[in-house]
Amino acid sequence: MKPDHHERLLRLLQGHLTPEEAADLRREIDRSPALQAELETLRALHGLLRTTVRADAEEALAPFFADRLMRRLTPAPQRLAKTSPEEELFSGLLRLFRPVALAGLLLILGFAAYNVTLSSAYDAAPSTTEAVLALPPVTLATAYEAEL
Amino acid sequence: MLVERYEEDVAATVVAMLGPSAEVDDVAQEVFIRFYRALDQFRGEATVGTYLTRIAINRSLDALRRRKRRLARFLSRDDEAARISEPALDADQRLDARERRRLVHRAIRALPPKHRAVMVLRMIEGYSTEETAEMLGLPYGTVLSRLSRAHAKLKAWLTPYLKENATDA
Repeated sequence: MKPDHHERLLRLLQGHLTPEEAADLRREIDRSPALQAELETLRALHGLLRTTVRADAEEALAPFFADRLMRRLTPAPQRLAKTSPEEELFSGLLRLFRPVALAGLLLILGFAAYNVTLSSAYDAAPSTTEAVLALPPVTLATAYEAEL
Repeated sequence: MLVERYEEDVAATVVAMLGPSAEVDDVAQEVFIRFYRALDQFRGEATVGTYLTRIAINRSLDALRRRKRRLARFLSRDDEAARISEPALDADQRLDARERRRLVHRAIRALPPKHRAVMVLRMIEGYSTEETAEMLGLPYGTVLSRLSRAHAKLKAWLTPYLKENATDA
């Protein structure tokens, strides 16, 4: 496709043509299946690019972009005590989260180790899942022995 | 506040140029810092949004040059060419939204930066060819030919996905 055709179709999609130019081009498109196909592809591509970029732009900036920027723009002596309460809370939670997550992980590993040690007391060799979760060994026969 | 009003637009321009990465936040900050430092040169001939977009494109091109220098240390020319000519997606593959977005960025990233800048301004930001030419300091015809080439490549890489999208709809 010639650059000129592509340009005219893009202008049509973006509403950059005068009403007369748009009407002329629409008549031309009606007569040409190739132009119709090209317009549809361009419309789909145009939409895909815009929606993709917009969706990613919403997640692209880290929190408190404006606050961080204003701090960078503020001269050093005036920078003290400039963080907003929300940003303080956010960074405080972030600081708190790491040790809590680490302690939780250590606790889980501790329980798993304890269960594995304890499970060695059973006669039957337990599976890894039974050992980690401290489940008693259950066979098909013992399952049917349950009192009804 | 000006930053809050334009931060998403600036982020969109930078994301389109660089792809989603941690670098986007840094470049977006640089854009506003550059804007504030050059405020006395801003004569109001363009809108603030246009002025910021122009800075965002220039900062992104700088970031791409830095990225290219870093890459050059690790990749030989052949490796880089192989990476860029890799097809953007497999036509038979059904893709989820995240994967589609990743592939769209991969296709955009495979365009040469100069073509990418034209494509971003013209097709994503919606500036006219005249405005794009003015913002990039290029002749009108150069914008047209770069856009045409960028469009042809994106069309070739992303058409399978466009068809899949039409089938889904």
